[in-house]
Amino acid sequence: MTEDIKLLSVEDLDNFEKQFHSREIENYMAAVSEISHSNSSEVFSNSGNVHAAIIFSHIFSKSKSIVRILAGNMYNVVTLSNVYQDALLAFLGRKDTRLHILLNSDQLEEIKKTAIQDSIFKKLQPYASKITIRKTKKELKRDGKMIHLCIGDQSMYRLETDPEHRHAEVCLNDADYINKYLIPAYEKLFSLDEGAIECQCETIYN
Amino acid sequence: MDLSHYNTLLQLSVGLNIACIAVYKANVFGQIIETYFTQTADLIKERADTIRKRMSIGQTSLKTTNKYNGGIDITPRANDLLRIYDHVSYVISKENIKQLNDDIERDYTPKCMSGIATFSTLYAILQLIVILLNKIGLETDSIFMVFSLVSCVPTIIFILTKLFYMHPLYAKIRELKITYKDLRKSYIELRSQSRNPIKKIWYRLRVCCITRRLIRGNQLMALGDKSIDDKRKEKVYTLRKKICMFLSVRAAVLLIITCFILSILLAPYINLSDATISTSKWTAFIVAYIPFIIYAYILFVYERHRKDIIDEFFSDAEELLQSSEKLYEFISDDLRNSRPTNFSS
Repeated sequence: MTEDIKLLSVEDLDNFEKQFHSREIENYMAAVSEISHSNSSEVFSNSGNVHAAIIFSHIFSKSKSIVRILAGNMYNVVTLSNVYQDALLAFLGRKDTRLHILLNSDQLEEIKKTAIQDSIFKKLQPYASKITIRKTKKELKRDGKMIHLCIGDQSMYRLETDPEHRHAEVCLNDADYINKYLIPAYEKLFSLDEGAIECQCETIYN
Repeated sequence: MDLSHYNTLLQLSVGLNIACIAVYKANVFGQIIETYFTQTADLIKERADTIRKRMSIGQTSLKTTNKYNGGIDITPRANDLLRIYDHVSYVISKENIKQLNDDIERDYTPKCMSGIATFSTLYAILQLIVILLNKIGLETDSIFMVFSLVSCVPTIIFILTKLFYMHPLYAKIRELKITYKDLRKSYIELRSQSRNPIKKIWYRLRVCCITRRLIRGNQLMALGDKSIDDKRKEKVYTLRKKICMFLSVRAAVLLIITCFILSILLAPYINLSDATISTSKWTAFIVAYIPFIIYAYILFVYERHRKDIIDEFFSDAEELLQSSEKLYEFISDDLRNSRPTNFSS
């Protein structure tokens, strides 16, 4: 897999944060909360960085026990945003929570050399005992197309069908699909037997 | 009333005039956005994307898996829903609201409003300048009084012509509202008679489209003029055109500045008695306030009419969206059950 590493500047992050202060985004957050609150099993599209960050933060804030993430390198405006990080750290701050992260980018080392921001993994270090991070060279595919994934407990998921443009499918209440298909597929890839390599927060990009 | 009270009131007049114009220029569409975004445009777009994506995957049709009517082809319904979403997304988009606002403003706002606004504001500002000059020791009482008296004439003309102009305009607005209400009523009746739920939604959509066309299609003038016969219409048009020219901002600026210069030039030659000065104070006070009161009244009536029409337009779209929720649930059932299940690594 090849990915272009886009260097992120402070301005990039500031500009991204500013986008959250609009009426449209507030309305979007309210609508997502409404879907979640009503226990609707509606499957809806999610695209763009801001919308992605909102869904991630929603999944983190509503999850009670475990969050599973399958991502490229987790070095992007979404993972470095306050909305994403605050929600993830709040999740880890809660009792009996666990976080599984599986990275499948082959350019992790380049990020170490070029990254100018503190990566998300530095912020996760205080919760290292609750986090399992692994790297893999394999990709998870659905219908033959590479996907990224975030699963909250056994009820919420965000399945990214086009990571480059952040096009994803979201459902905030579907235990059936998650238990039957998503968790088994994720766990298979996450397994050490399948070639995944264990790593630590502080050495993730090494 | 002594002069100091009088000055305070005039200064207040300046403030009120300027504030009034600021409110007018700020537009009302910001409030409209806040009122009507109970559903987010982003979410609607994403729903539409989901349906489109599902329809473009390769399957030629969507089939419901509802246990009562499993296997029914719901592609036409999905297409209906997409049309509704497109319509509603457009209606509640910022661009549309701004465009709608501009269209209504262009149709409704008579030029005399900006003329009167400019006239009364400039009048008040010039009065304030005279008062300030007086405070720093210059003798301006005579200029002030003459200015007040001279500018009485254009103010009275403004008021008369405004009343003459505004009457047919109000008639038009009323007529538009009646026409719109009739159309809407007939479609609502059709909708209630229909037993087909999809047809019902389509009638509702039709109501929205009619409203949009009425507002956007620049048909306000045509509707309003139906009641006037051709010859009279011709006369009214010619006269209205002249009045508009007379009441334009440029004319108002020119008129008030001429009055002011005339007052400065004439003041030394007019010998005012105490009684004249006392009368002039009241005249000046009334002259300063009448345009403002009229202007405020126009703003009130105009904004109320505009808000009424936009209100109905948006509440229709909102209703349409709510009524389509069941249809979405119906289709959502298929979308959920048709997700791919073949994962590999």
